[in-house]
Amino acid sequence: MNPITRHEFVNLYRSRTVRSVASVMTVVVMIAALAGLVTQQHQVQERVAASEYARERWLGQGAKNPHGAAHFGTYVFAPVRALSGLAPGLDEAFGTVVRVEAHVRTPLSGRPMASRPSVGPFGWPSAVSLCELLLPLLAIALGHGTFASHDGAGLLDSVRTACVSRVRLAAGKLFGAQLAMLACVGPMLLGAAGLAVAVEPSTTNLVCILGIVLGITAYAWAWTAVSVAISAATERASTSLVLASGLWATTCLLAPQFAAAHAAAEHPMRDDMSFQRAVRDDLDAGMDGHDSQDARLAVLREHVLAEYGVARVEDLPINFDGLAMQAGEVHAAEVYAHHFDAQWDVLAAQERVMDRASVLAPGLALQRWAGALAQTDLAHHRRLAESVEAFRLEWVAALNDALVRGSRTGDWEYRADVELWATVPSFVAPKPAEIGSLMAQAGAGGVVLLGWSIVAGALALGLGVRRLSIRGGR
Amino acid sequence: MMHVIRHECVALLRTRALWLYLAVFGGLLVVAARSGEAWRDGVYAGRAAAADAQHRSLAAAAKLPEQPWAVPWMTLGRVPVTAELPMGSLAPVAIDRVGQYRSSVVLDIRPPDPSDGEARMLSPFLLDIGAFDLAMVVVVLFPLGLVAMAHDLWVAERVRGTLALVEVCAPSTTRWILATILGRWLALVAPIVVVVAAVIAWWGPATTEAAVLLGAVAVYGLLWLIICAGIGSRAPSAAWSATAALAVWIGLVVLVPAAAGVAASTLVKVPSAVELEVELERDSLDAEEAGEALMESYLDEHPELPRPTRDEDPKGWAKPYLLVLQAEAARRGAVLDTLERRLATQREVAAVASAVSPAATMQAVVATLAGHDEERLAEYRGAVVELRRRRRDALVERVLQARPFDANDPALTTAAMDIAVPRGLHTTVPGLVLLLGQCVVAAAVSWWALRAPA
Repeated sequence: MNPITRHEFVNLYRSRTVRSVASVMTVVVMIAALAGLVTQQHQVQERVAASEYARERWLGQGAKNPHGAAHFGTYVFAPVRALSGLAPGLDEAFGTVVRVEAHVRTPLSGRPMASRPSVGPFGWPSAVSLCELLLPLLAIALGHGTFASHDGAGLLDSVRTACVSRVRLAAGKLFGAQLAMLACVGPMLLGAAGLAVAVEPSTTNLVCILGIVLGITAYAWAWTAVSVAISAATERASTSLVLASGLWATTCLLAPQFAAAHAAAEHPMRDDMSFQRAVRDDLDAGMDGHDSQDARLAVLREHVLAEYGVARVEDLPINFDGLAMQAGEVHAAEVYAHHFDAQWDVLAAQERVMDRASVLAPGLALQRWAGALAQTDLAHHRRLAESVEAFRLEWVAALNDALVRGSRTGDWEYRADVELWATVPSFVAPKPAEIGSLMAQAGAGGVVLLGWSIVAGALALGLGVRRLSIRGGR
Repeated sequence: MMHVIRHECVALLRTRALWLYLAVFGGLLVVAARSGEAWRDGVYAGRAAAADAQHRSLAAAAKLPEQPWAVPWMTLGRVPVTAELPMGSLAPVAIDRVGQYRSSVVLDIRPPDPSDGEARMLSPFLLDIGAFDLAMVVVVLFPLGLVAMAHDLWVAERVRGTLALVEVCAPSTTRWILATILGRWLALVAPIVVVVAAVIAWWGPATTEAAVLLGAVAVYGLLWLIICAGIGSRAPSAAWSATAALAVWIGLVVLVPAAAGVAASTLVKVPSAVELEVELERDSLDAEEAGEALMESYLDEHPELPRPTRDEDPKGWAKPYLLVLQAEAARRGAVLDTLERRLATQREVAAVASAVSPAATMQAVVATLAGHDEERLAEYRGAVVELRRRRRDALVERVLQARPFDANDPALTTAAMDIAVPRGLHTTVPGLVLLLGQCVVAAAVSWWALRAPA
């Protein structure tokens, strides 16, 4: 190992300040990781129990008309992903439960944050969010005096006179700081990753958690390099510290909030009331404004009567009401899909704004990377919402079909029982995505993290060499 | 004393750092002002649209529906009349995560539901990260700015050894210390208070709440100056002082409130949305039987009423349906009341656990002055539930008594706008007292640090 690197590493690692900051951080992040994993396991159990209750309730509803059963409804509970305890991503902002019934598509409600007390300005702490917030501070503690303090003590000149090349000296200092950072956060990250894999061991989890650890390491590398670069560009250690802290406040506190506000302003969502009104208008009048419900029903009636060769719906061997309801359901599904897709597209556009903003705020890139790998990002929530709707349509269609085939038009006394309830489909959560597709989703965040690491490293080296050149010239 | 104050101010005014600090915070406050204004305009626009939709729905309900099973009273009862949370003059101050709650809730006859007050169509990014607001600038960034600008308070004197000289030579050390801190306060805190005052004046007319907010900002700034002074008085170097002050900031602004929240949610268990849904659903199923029993007892009490049967009265289903609804609403209401009590206890525990953090205290004071504190939102939810209950009672009474339909019945058509949730200035007193107490404790500790031998 380069002796300068070793010297820098040992010096930093022995520093009481660095060790204190690293110890506090390790304790805080490990507590958050443990708490996250315990909460995640509790959520898994509660949702399994809730799903069993929903099934039991559905089967035990007694004999009733299938359409009555469709209004009796059932429940779907959002599945809990294995790594959500460490990287909850957008889980806190999306709902966890939805009542599934005929005619109506509702988004999942019941955000986890609603049943928790307010915890200050930075939301509910998770291992990844704490790393995002605190790792830069550890990096600043490590790197702010790399050049500035030694320069003040006149040590740089002494080393330079010992015929050490400027590049070697600057690189030694940078890599020494990086090694110290790795030594500080390595055990913590591996500990948290080990816990997560031990809770739900699988190859996908292992690969994803390693990916998250890699992302956090890149983030730590980038911040350490930035801190060293600032140290190389400033005369005094205290100035370097204040400047680096200012940069941290700007990129970790301000930029994400500005980005989120800008994204929401540039791509506004419809609020609840206007969304419901637009859906209601389209349901009543048809999406083109001319194809009203009555008109659609008349066309369907004519078509069915012609198909069966009878003059009145009462003469049909099937229940026309069931057919009409299924047709209405298909139309409503189209209307809902039109409006919900538009909302999801708005959110996707907001996510693109956040991706662009992550170039200035690498914390956002880390969130994107970790959220995608933990399957707690926007794409995952959209997939879940769409799978719930697909299930709802299949479920209602099965009940309407039973009504059509099991009774005649106007026969509202028809009753189905548990035999039918047991055959209608149950909700199956979408399978976890393949590693390849997760990596593709996480790509935007990964590229930014990599870019920051390379640019910050080059900047630290460049400014370090320049600083040494100036000193050498004096 | 005056010459020390003047010296501190002039020395700071000559630094570029002070002008940068003032420019940055001036800019941030202007952005926060615009952000708050945009939020307020959005809320007003949403309310206007809701009011318009409500008028249209009432007009449509006044026309008797043609469907054979419809009951006009119930159609009227289902019209989405809205209840709005009154917005105070300081509402735009704290808009961080208030968007997740609806400030305008539909008052139809449905039984209460935990998702009633939950806004669903909301940017998850904004919800996750939080909206930028004046509270963020004042509570989080302002102390960070003070740490940057005042971490070197007395460090230079200590390093040069002139601190001891001042202590010996100054006519009164106490007055010198106070004058130094006052000088910094005038240069660093007073301009921020003035800009905050300007922002509030831009939003609307000055109120007592605004004066209280400005006073709180002034005390909060003083508190952080005292913390910096205490650290600086013992620090061996400016870098050490900056690191320690930053660590204190992280501890008091980030870690303590988060730890208090985690502790409160661990100590006081509140059912999650999933558990709550299962519990409510179980109660709803039981309510069906309870509703039938209610119907029987009601008919026993009123023998003059015909017994509704499906064969004799095609609209008869509405009566047992409404009584089931009453029973269901009562049961769900009881479950949700318990939930609200648990949440209130959880908030109290979190407040006690975070009492050591001035940032948590200041956040609570600002949110209370803005009218967006959890207690007020809980009271608003309670008021909505109560209004709904009254509407349901009125509807049940009219349907069961088979009263002639009146499309203008005030019990069902009056828009219950602006529920008066009474919250006075006195609600901020505990927070203000705690803030002053923290200031006194910080002053005592700093005094000890300054006077104790190094």
